[in-house]
Amino acid sequence: MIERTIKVADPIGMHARPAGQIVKLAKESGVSIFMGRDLENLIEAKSPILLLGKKFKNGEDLVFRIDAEEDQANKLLDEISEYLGN
Amino acid sequence: MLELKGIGIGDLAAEGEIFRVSTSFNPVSKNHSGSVEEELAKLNPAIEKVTSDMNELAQTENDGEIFEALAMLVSDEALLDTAVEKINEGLDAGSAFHSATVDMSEILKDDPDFAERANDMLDLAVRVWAHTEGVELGLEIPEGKSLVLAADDFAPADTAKFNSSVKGVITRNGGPTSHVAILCRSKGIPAVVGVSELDKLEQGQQVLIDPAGDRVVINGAMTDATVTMSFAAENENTLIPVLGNVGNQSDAEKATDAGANGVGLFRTEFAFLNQEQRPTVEQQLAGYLGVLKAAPEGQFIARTLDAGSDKPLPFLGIEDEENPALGVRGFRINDTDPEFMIDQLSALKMAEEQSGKTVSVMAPMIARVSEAKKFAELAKEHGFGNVGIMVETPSIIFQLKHLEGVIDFVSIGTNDLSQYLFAADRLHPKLGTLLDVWQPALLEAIKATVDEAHKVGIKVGVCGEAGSDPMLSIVLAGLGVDTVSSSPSQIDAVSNALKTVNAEQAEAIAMAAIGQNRATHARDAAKKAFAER
Repeated sequence: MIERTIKVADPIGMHARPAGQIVKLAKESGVSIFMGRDLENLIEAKSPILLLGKKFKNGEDLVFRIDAEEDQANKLLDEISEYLGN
Repeated sequence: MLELKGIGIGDLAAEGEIFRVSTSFNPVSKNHSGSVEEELAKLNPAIEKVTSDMNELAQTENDGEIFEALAMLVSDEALLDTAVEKINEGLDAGSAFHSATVDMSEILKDDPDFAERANDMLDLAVRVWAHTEGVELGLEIPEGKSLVLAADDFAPADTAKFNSSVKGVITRNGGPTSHVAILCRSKGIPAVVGVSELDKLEQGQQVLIDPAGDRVVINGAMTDATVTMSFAAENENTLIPVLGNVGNQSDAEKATDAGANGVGLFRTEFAFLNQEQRPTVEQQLAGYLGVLKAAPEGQFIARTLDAGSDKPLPFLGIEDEENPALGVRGFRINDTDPEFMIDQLSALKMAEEQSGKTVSVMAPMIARVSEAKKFAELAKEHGFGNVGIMVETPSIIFQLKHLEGVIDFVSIGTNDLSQYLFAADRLHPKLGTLLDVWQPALLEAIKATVDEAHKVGIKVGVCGEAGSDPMLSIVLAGLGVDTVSSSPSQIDAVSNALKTVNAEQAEAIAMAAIGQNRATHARDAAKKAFAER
């Protein structure tokens, strides 16, 4: 289980496309991706709409937790970081 | 013969059969009478169809990423789960999916950054609903026919599908500067907008679309068309140079073919309107160079970025505003994002050097002397010798006297100048008459601009829709305007008009128009003075 904090760098926040990309990544890799503003309030990335509903804004630090081997998890987290404009 | 009134776009009439386009589908929520399985068998293919439609648009359209995101939203699992619950409770497939979407979109609605997506989701839900009931919503125009399209309005995605069958366009909403009006004018398609009695038109009915008469005539024929004033060129040269308004390479080619004396307005933002990422200097250079190379010989005026929350560019991060037309637009963006202007000026300078043509630059939305000075300084630092500003806000007209030696020219954007002069939203469907380019107060504002600018050695061009009206171009020349810039499709007509008069005649015609106190009277007075010249 790997955790990492990633900043939302996209100027308009986490909009529909990155939300969809994260859900797609979880689905295609068969790995559960949890995310949120802090460890107490993580949700599983299964629905782009529910992720959009969290209204993650530009500059916010998001916590990600991935239940996978270190290598795979880090690779997924790198991709997510890119989706978020980093 | 029944006729429906509206606001005409263009001069030429056309005949065709009515092709009603239902851009709205307003079904009523209802319960299903069969089994849950039957409803799911309708819902799943409908979702798949809309998803694949969106994915297809993502491949073919310029702003593909938006459609890719929409595909992801419509196939959302949580949304489907909610819809299935509602089917279990009794709703039919389409009603359940729509109701689930309404519920889920609520969580996005209170936030301006995401409210737009909530509207997109509802639109997608309606599309899914239509598919569950076997209704075709997408705009598919048959080829090889003569059609007059009629709808409440056309979204940009719809106008992209207009083909050669489209002989005319009728809308219930929109004024002379609405998106569809501008598109029809640039493509030379006759249109009548703001037709409140649109519902009287029936599918397949033969109509005459008669923009010069501001009407649609049911069962009318070309012989009923309003006779427009045609100008037979008498002189070899136009009284003042006629330039072209261009947004891309194809416009520039059309302007060249029409014999324009240059480009009076290059709308640079069209080169990256649909991009999510900030364009690099190199990308901008490539776009600008293509337009420059295709442009007619003569002057070439590039307008720097004209964006705002009404014309958003994702990479600028402009926030939604209560009054976008009165907000951070045009040169005002430079306060928060000065780098963009520097990139643009650098790219334009490189394009100039590589094309061998001379480029002039101007900035939009200049309201104060300090802004004009700031822009002129930036432009000169980048090596531009001929620098100007747009006249759109009435405030700058009263300050032109302070711009001697600061700028070389102004270009009047009559669409925005009308909007700000009359406090009338240029897209408002009910305010079209306030935005009539023949409004005497607008003509007075143009005259004041010319008088003030000429006193301090500043040249004046007109690049708004006013510059595309042949009769009005004579009036503009008569008021002392130095150049007009027209839509590519109007260059020919405007040039012909400006080959029929000399300077004294144009001045007399202008004075006849400007002395009136109604737009219709000004137009009639100009026509009368022209006939009696």
